[in-house]
Amino acid sequence: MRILTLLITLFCAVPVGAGQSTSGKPAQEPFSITITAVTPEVEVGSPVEIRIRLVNNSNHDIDQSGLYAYGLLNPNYQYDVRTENGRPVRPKKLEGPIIGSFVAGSVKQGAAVEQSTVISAAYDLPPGKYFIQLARPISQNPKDGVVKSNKITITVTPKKK
Amino acid sequence: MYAVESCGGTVTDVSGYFYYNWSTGSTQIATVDAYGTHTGVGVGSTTSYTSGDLNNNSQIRKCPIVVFNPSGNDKVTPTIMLGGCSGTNITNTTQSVVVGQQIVLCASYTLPSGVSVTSQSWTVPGTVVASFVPSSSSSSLNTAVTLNQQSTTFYWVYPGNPQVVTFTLNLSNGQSPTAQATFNVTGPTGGTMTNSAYSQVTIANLASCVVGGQNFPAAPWLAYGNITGSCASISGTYGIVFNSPTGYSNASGGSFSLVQLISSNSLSGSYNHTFTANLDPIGYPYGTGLPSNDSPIAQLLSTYTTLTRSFNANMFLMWTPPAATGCSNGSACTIPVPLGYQTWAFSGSANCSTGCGSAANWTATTNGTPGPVGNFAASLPSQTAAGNNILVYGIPTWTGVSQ
Repeated sequence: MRILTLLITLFCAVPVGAGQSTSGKPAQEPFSITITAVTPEVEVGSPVEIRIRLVNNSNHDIDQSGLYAYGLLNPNYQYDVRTENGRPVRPKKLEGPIIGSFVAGSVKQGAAVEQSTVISAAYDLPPGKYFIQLARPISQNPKDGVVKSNKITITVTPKKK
Repeated sequence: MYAVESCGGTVTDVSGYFYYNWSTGSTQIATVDAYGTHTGVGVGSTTSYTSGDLNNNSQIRKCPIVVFNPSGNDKVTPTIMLGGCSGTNITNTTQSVVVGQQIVLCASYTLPSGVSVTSQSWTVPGTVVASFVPSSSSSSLNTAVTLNQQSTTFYWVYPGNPQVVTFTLNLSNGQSPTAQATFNVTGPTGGTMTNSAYSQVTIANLASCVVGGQNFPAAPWLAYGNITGSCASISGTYGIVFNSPTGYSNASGGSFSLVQLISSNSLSGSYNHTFTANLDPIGYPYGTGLPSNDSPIAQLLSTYTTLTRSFNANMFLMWTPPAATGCSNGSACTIPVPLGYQTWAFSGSANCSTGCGSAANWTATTNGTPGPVGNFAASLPSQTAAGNNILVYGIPTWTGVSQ
């Protein structure tokens, strides 16, 4: 068995407000992302799970297809997980091959979809306070920027004795 | 002469009311004076007469106050309120509700002085649960509906009618009044979810890509289906496609969704791992709706020479009703209920002798017939398992993501 270290590209955490894109365009964004913590305070070792709600405000369907793999998160988003000091948290190293499923899907124009993903499946989160924010490119053209979600705080508490 | 006094009820001498009115039928036989004193005169018999007015008073008599202590059976009549204690009285009525809708009932009653409740209970027929909160970390299912309090909250899981709900109140005075309400519980019935399945496992040669900020190198993959492209965007034929449900009646207004539980999933050969029976890593819900699909893949590293995968899963079709009018409990207003599930599986191997970093040097072998195992099985309250997955009342349960 070999250890596969995945290269991580964390997107730059520009402090923007919830739902704002980095494109700088005043027009309504094609979609919005809202995240909520299933449980804002969890004991270490318990799942840290967030709900992701995407609302398609555009005039076209939004592709939600992707590779959903063991130990990885919902592939349609970029994840920014930081400690309370602002330091980015590195994802776990994956062991063995990537195993998962390709799943197709889309969000119809004007529709919304809510999915959840377990952050702690991909990140080691010892006791502490964490800031989580998601982003998603508006298109395949990087110049179009990304839409960012709101930023939430999750507290991981020590194990109770 | 005595009579019963009308106010006090006591026996009173009323002789004076008859003075000066005495006479006899024959004074030859007897005489009588003003006070009723008789004197015999001759032999024989005669009749004496007198009269008087017992109410002939100039003063109006005032009867004394008499305290009465009436007693008898005080009847407590409970009523059943829908929507909570401030809801609507539905006692002895028939209500139409939908599976998966939150039902909040409260028994309303007034107790007379000195009477207390010794116990109270609800009888709710059909399959009900107290709550069901599915997520990607667990399926929090509570089947213990509280039935011994003034209020009860539950969800029906399956259609049925009539469902007669009874509330019984046991009181300290020995009475046990009841109240009933009838529910017609509707929900989707009679439908199915079809699928189409590819017949083989293949070697997919996928280009590198970045997904979620992570780099996936170009590599050969053991895939169920016939797919090309990159991990960010693929095309071709998925392993299995689950079509939108058809034939369900009473489903309008609600929404269908999918949940996939891994029953068994093992890899052997150059890499060995057996995954736990639990939620598919895609999470809850599965995908973004129907139709949906799945093409399981496993990366073939250049150091590998053989990899065999055996996979078995259950794809559950769920349905969530619209919230009942007036429900203000947010996400608790509804739960998804199971309609049925499709078991499916595949097994295959990939083998390579040299140059295993190239997809061209791998060959795939399909074991058996991949795709659906049996037909779509309608959910039933009696179901406790589907393969290695645990069901409760036919509801799929999981404790986390398969790993």
